[in-house]
Amino acid sequence: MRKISFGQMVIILFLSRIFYTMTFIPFMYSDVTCQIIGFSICTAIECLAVIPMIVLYKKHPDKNICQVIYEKSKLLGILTCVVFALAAVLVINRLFRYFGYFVYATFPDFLPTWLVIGAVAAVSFYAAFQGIEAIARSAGITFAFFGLSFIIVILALLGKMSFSNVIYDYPKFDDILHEIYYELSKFSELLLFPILYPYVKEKAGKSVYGALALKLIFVYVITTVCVLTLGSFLNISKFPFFDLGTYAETFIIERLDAFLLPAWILVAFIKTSLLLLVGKIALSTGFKRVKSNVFLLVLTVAAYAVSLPSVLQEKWNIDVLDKTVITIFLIVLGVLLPLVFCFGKGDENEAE
Amino acid sequence: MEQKTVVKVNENNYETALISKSLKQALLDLKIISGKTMDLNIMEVEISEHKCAVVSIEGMASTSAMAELIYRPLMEFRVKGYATEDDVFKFLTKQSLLSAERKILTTYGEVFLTLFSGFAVVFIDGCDKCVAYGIQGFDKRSIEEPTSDGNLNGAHEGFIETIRTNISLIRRRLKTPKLRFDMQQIGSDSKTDVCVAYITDKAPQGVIDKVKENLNKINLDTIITTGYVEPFLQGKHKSLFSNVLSTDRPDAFCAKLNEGRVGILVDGVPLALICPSLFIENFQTIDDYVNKPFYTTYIRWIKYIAFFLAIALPGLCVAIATNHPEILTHKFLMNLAASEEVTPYSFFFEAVIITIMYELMREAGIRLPKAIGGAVSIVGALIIGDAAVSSSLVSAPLLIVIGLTATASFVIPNLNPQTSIFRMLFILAGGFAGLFGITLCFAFMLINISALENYGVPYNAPISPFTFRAMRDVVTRPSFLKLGRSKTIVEDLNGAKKI
Repeated sequence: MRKISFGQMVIILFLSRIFYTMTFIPFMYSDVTCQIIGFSICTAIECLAVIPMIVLYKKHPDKNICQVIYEKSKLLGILTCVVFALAAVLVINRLFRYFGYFVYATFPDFLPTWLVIGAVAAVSFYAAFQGIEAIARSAGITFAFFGLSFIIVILALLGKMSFSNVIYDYPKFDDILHEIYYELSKFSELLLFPILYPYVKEKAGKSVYGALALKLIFVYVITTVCVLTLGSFLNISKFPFFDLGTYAETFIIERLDAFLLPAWILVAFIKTSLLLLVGKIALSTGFKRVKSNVFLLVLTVAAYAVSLPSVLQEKWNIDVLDKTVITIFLIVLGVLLPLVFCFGKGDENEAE
Repeated sequence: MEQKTVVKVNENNYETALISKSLKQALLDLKIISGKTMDLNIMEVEISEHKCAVVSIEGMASTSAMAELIYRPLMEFRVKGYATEDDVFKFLTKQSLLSAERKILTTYGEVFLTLFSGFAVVFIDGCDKCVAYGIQGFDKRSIEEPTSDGNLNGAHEGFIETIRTNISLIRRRLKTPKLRFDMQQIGSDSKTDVCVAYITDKAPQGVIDKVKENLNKINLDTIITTGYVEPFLQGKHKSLFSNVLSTDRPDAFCAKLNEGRVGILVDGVPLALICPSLFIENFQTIDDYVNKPFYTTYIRWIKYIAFFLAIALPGLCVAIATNHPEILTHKFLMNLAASEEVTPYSFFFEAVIITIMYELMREAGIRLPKAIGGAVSIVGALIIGDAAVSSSLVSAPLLIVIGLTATASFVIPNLNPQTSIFRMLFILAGGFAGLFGITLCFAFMLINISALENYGVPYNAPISPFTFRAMRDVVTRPSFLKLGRSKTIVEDLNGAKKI
């Protein structure tokens, strides 16, 4: 059962989170100071929010949350499985829309957005079909590629950073609250970890904190680099992270965002395949008679079909769905359910 | 027991049928089973006035060895009075050393297997057993330099088609009793000798058992090449890459056995298979361990770059030139535009055509005799290439790109089939979808490689899952002072799993 290592789990969780970070941090409509404060507070909240999940993992290291609930109540178990699959589809839907927006905003005459998303869905289906080990190994290489691209861009920007670009603003409480709320809605570890932890060989609980720490470091670095390099340009930049690449110029190639774009697409595909896998595992737990790959196909088609109308109508942000609904799903599935079921007797072979 | 011999023996039931006591009947059975094949030689002789027969297959046994080692001692054997079958059998099995290899056979199945392996079989009238002597004398190729995996400083011996010669080449390099060769016959008709080689305290028992189990699953009539065996060793993963390495070098084979791998030799094929194998091993050659570590490290990185160029360079060029020209520097872009202006087709279409032409020339060069093969490259490179540029059918930069790609692919010959396929996929993806397509294609390749695992070892180990100790031999080439202190064997590469 246990197939992936602690390091691979950290990388999986980290990559699944930085998809949004690469696109929208620092967020153009908010002040950077507010973001940093909001982000730090949000990470502290996240550290607390994962505690029930970790307690549940320590009690049932070989069973995912759906299995734990299914064994206690079949009906509730099936319901949880379906809700997990639904949440996975919703998060993929958001990812597809954000991805579509990026393609639309950066390459308007490039390819039809529905085709771009369809291609990502197809490759992610193939990855999820190959299983958690294949995704984890691919994630390791993606992480290395992403890190290398990021370092190259930063090195190219070293001469262009200046402290004169820093504009300090007094943080507003409302903005900070908004940041916290916005960040929490992207906390997809809450969806991935309770389903994937039985696949981790050791220290699964610590992997969440590892991913959070890594994310925090990355956000601090990227925000600092963005502020020092782009300055007030941040206020009009749609994708500050990619604008860093555009701004970085070498004698070999004009724009280094060519390095960042593949890294980001790879991250998107890793995240999508993980979510598809989570949905597949959840549904297979609830409906044991149906072949798991049937669920995978259904989930992929469903996620694509749900995203298609928004993509065709160019509705990239659906605030109620993206923030409120998904946040509720994440809190219920990743915090409340583990909190309820972490009490009581655990399995004999407790973890760590 | 006797009942079995009463049943008429034929080509369908001979394998377990016992040898007839009557020499006449036994020889008749041999003729019936073999359908009186012309290469079955039966020489009836009297050994000390007792009727016997020496049977062999023409061309498989050495005639001089047969005369010297079999006929002469048999003719010189004398007992007082009339020799019984027991006297002759005792002489053949206990009182003489007619050959280094001797087997006592009881069934026709064993008789034919040994006959077709180059043995001479002595039948004795009145005896239900016969004696086989190894006097193989079939023509075989002498040991030559390996053709597919050339090197400068290593040994210049390569495997040949004869399995026993190959075994001796390995044994000569690994003089340890822990080196084991387990032979078995595979192929219901060909009965090909397939040998599993391993070092007992280095290869994991799980891998050895699994390899043997996989070989036993082969239910083919014939085994002509290693390609017949390879799919059974690879497992169920459908990947474009192969996790079974093949080599024609005994030194490379021994090095892998020393790392805990299991080797498979197939009779009639000058190649050996090694499993499990890693993606990264396609970049390692025996010369790496002869040259200085700093030079090898440098060359290794050249090979990694060569792999990247071989699969992605034309695709990237197409993607950038067609969909993302803003990435290029101004001067580069102007030069490219100037050279493209005179050509009738798009950069993308030109790239597809030139790549197909290159594959065509390469295939022609391989299939044709060596002398003409060289001429093909002259025709391709000089005449067609030069004519295409001067007539403005193809732009010169594209020809440089394809030329560079072709040269890069020669650096890693083991991955040639994969690079050919992915090169075309990258060109198509780059042409239709730019860098986005290239990245998705790369993601597909990544998953394809990552999903591959055999015998508990991931194909892309030690990169992912990351194994620090083994990574030293990927990023650099550690000196033997360090390699000797801490060797990496196959069990260290399997990430979170136990083999």
